[in-house]
Amino acid sequence: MLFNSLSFAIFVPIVFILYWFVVSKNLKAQNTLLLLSSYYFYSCWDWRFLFLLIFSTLLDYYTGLKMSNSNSTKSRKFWFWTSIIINLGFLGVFKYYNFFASSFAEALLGLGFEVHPALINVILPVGISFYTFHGLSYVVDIYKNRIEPEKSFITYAVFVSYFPLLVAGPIERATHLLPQIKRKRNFDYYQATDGLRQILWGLFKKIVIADNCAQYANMMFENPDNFSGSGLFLGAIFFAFQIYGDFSGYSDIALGTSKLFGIELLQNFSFPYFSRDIAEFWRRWHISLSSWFKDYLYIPLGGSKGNTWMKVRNTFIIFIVSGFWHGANWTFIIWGLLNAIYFLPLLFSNKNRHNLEIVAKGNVLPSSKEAFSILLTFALTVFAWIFFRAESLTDAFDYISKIFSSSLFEIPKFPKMGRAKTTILFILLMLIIEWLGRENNYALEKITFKWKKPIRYTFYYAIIFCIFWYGQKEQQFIYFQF
Amino acid sequence: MKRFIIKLILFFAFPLVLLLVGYVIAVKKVNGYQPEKNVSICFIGDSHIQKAIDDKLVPNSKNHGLSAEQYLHSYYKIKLLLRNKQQLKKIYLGFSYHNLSSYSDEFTIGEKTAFVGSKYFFLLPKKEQFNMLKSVEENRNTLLKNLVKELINTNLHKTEKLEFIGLYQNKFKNSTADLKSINKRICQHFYNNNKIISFSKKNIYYLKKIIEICKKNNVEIEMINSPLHPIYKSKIPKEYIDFYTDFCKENKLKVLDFSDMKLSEDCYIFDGDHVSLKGSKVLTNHFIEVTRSGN
Repeated sequence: MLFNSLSFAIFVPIVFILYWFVVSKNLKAQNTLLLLSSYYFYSCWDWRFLFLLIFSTLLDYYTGLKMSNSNSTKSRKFWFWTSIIINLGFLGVFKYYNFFASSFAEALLGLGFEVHPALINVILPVGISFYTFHGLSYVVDIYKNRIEPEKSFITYAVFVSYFPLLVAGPIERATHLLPQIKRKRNFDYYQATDGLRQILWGLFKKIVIADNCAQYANMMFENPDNFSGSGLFLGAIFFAFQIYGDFSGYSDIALGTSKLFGIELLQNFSFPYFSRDIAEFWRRWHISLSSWFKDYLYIPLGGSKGNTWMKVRNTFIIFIVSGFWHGANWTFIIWGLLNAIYFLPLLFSNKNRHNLEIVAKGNVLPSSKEAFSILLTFALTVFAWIFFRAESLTDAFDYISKIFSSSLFEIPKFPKMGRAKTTILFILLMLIIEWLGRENNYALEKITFKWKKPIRYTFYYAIIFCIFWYGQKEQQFIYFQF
Repeated sequence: MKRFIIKLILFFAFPLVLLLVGYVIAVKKVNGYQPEKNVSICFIGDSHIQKAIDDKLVPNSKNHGLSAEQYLHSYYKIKLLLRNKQQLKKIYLGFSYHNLSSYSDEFTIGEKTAFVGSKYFFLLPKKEQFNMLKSVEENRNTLLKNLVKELINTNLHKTEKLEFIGLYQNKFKNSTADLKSINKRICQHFYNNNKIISFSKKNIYYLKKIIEICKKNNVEIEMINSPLHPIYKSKIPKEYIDFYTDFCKENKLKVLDFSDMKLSEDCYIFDGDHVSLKGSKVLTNHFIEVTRSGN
């Protein structure tokens, strides 16, 4: 059940009505409804993997309680490592086994030993990387005595399986989400309308921007031989907006949907393409994952403390692991590595925490220096995205070499040029709206408040019309594969 | 909560009411269509007849053919033409053997309805409209988009200018049949995984209904088998040819069979089952001669 599908448009109002009209008086009933709806939502993908989700939930719930009840450090450690090993074991088997097995075989072949490892033919359970990380953060927080374990299974299960975040995040923290699940929710008109506005903007980014950009990005990346350097350059930019529209659009729909049920989720994107350096980009892109890695990997490794060598090592580890989290492919590892390399100059010059505020705060336009920094950061990001999008490293290098050919300065030509121009216009429109709303949590949050009602509603109808008119066939969200 | 629900309903009600009003006007407009007064002969069917007969050369006639039209659509179009009890005396119904193939069902109860059926939406009864909406899954968005386009067109333009009315059209000035395209076409029309495609129940049902409605309204009906390239014709499965022959006999249908007509290569387009502009001139003149002589 995709967020941009008719079935989801039917599913949400049904759950909403039951939630606020039938079970609104009883918190336990509300949570049970959320849990059952979430399990139904998940089983629409593949009901067999529902058992894996339930098992993972039971495991972390149980080990959490066991750790808390343990009197000895040894016992606490035992339950902690049981949870970590099983959680990562599942992730490893489903997501990384084939990669490691074939990479190992290739390495042995290089040494002259030919082996044929048995590969497993199984589809990746949707959302496994997300709910595993949910569970891991919960178990680590209990182990580190940061939180108390949740006593109610239903409450904990909602924390892991809550349908707006189940398949692609945001990766929540127990400290943020659990108290909201445990607290009685009352309907808030402003929160609900805010949610609807965020859903609308998310749908626009997904359907109008991402799905249209996808046509051209796919065209270029699948057949780079058929296009000029300038066409491929444009293809890489299309992909940059595809992935942004897709994932930030998804996150907006998730956050907006959750607001309809009175629950606020963590902000996942904060206008990353307006970043002035790569450090700022990573504070604004997939925030819930970046902060997860920061809290559960970077800081335990020593963070930015210690000597330069330690800082460099930690930076490389966090970016490479982040790349690997996205998928079992060398392309993701190189993508992570590239971002680590981009980060180094900032680390050495101690400027990685320079741009903490949003760009040009309180101003209409950025300064020329800011504009240059934004463009440079965007260019570096687009270059890294080529590795993220390519099927293999050979494809990525091939794509890059074709961009930097003599045809780079030709006027790009490709099928459906008219539609491509419209897509570019929509990208510009999105950038303008995002720029105007960049000081808020999402672009539409407050900018329409200043407008008179007729203008505001005309604007909403125009967005709905664009979604309807420029929408393609329902397309999967990119991050569902992770 | 009450305020939220009311505002939400009002927000969505506004465009829905607009669409509903547009829909009512469109249905009324389409059903009020008045055929031209001097027209007593009509050519109806899909692109085969649309490209084949130039109605300007045939006195008092109108070609209502339209690309990918199925007998379901033709039936409701004929019903519309007969509704106003005009001076319509004769209908020439286009035929090509693939009209019997369930390959055609894709245009009435399959995904291609999104592209073809939407043009006829306001002409169809509610049940068929609902069937159309139900039959499309993958292209649902395209169908809805096309329906809105059609709704706007129908509200803004005169009914006779609407696409579903059909018209003679042939843009193939310099073309010849191409063997590869003919083979591809034959496979598409009659074969699925090397097995002969079954007959289309829906098209045959509506073909019978067309015969019935013409009889009921005392309008003469005659089938026109449009010219086919000899290679295309030779590859049509025998079952299809036999079925059609028997069907015409059973229903005492008159047939003008041009499918074996000898035409030069440049009278066909690449697919071998449509005539080119030159072919249509030759065929129309031949048609006039044949009908004048009464054969």
